[in-house]
Amino acid sequence: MQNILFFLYRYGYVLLFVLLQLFCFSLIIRFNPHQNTIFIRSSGMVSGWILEKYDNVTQFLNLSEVAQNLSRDNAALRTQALTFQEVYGPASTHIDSNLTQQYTLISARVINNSIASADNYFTLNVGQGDGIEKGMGVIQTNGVMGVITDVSHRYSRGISLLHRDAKISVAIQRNHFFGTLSWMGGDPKMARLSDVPKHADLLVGDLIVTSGFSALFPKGITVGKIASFDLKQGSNFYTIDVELSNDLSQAHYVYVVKNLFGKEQLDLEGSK
Amino acid sequence: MEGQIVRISLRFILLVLLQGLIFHRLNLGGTHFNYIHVFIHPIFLLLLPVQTGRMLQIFLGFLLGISIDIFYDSPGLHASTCVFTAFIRPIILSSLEPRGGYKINSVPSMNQFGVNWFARYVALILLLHLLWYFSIEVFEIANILQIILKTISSFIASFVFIGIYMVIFNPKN
Repeated sequence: MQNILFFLYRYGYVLLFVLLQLFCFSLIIRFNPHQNTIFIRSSGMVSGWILEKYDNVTQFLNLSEVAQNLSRDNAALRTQALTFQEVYGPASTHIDSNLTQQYTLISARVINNSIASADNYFTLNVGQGDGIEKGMGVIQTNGVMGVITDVSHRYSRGISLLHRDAKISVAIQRNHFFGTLSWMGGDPKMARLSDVPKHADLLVGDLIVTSGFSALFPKGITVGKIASFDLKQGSNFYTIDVELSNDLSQAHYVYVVKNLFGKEQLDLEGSK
Repeated sequence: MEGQIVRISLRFILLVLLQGLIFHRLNLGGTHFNYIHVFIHPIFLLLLPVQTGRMLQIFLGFLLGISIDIFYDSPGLHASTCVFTAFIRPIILSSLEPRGGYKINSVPSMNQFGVNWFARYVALILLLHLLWYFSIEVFEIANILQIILKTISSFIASFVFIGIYMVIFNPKN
C-alpha cells in the first residue's frame, strides 16, 4: 500500500499527463471536423483489418447455423426459380426491355456489429473495390439490416436499422398503406412504424414489407409484422409497433443492394 | 509568495487575451502562405517558478490550453499541446541546469539566467510545443512536410514576438 502511494506521489504526474492527453484527444476527435474525418478514415482501415481477423476465428463457432440458414435460403430460391421456369420457360430466352434488371446483390460478411448501443453500427468486409458505395441498402435473408455510410477501399461501415437516424420507407403488404419505420431504442426486435393514416385498416400480424419508394431497397422485402397499434386521441396517424422478422444480433452473411437505377431516381428527385 | 500568485494569475489572463484576441487574428503569411501562426501564450508556462510541482504545472497547462481553445474554437488542440509542454518543461530545465543547480524560488527568466541561456530555453520548448501542435492540427503523417513547414515558419515568428514581450514586460520573477 505504502509502495503504491509512494509510486503515485513520485509518478502521478505521468498518469495525469496521460489522462489529460486522452481527454484532449477525445475532444479533438469529437469536435473538430477535420481531425474527425481523418480519424474515422484511418481507424476504419486498422479496425477493419483487426475485426476481420477476429471474425475469421469466431465464425467457426456459428458455422453450422450459418450453413443451415444458407441452405434454407437456397431452397427458397430454387423453389422460386422453378416456379418462374414453369411460367415463363427457361430464363435465357427472354429479351424484354421491361424486364431489365434493376438490382444486383453483393454478398458480404458482417465483421462487426452492435445492437446494445443507442446508435448501432456494423462493418462489412466489402468496400469500394467490390463496388460498394455510400448510401446503399443492406439486407439479410429475412429482413433489412441498414444503410452504408462510410466506405474505405476494402471495408464499409453502415448504420444499422437500430440507429436513431435510420428511417426506412415500408408498406403494409395487405393494403399497401405506407409509412416510415424507425427504431426507438431498447428492444432490438421491435421498431416503430409511423405516418400510417388513421383510415387504414390494420390487423395485428399484418406483414410489413419495404415499399420500394426509396432508392435503397427493392420493393417487397419482408421487414416484420405488426405487434400492436394505437391511435392517439386527436392524431391522424397510427403509432404501430413492429416486430422485426430478422434478428440483427445474428447477422453473419448479408447482401448489399446495388440499385442500378438509383442514381437516376435520386437525380430526378433532386437529392444528393 | 502571494504577490507571486497574483502576478502569475494576471499574466495568465493577459496572455490568454493577447493570444486569443490579437495573435489569433494576426495573419502574417497572407492568404497564399497560411503557415505562420504566432503563439505567445507558452510564455506563461515558460515563466512558472522552477520548483512548481509537476502535477500543478500539467494542470495549469491544461487550463491555459483550454482557455486558448475557447478563442480558437478547436476543443482539445491547444489543451493537449499545453499539457505536453508543461510535461516536458522540467525535463528541458534539468537538461539546461546551470552549474550548482537552481536556487529555491528561481524563475527561468532573462534577468536571472542571461539572454543566451533564456534564448536556448525558449527555443527548445517552443520548437517542441509547435511540433506537437501542428502534428495534431494536421493529423496526418502523410502531410509531414506541411507539419515541418508550419513548425519552422511559426517558430521564427513566435520566437520574435516572445522576445518582444520579454523586452516590454521584462518579468523579474
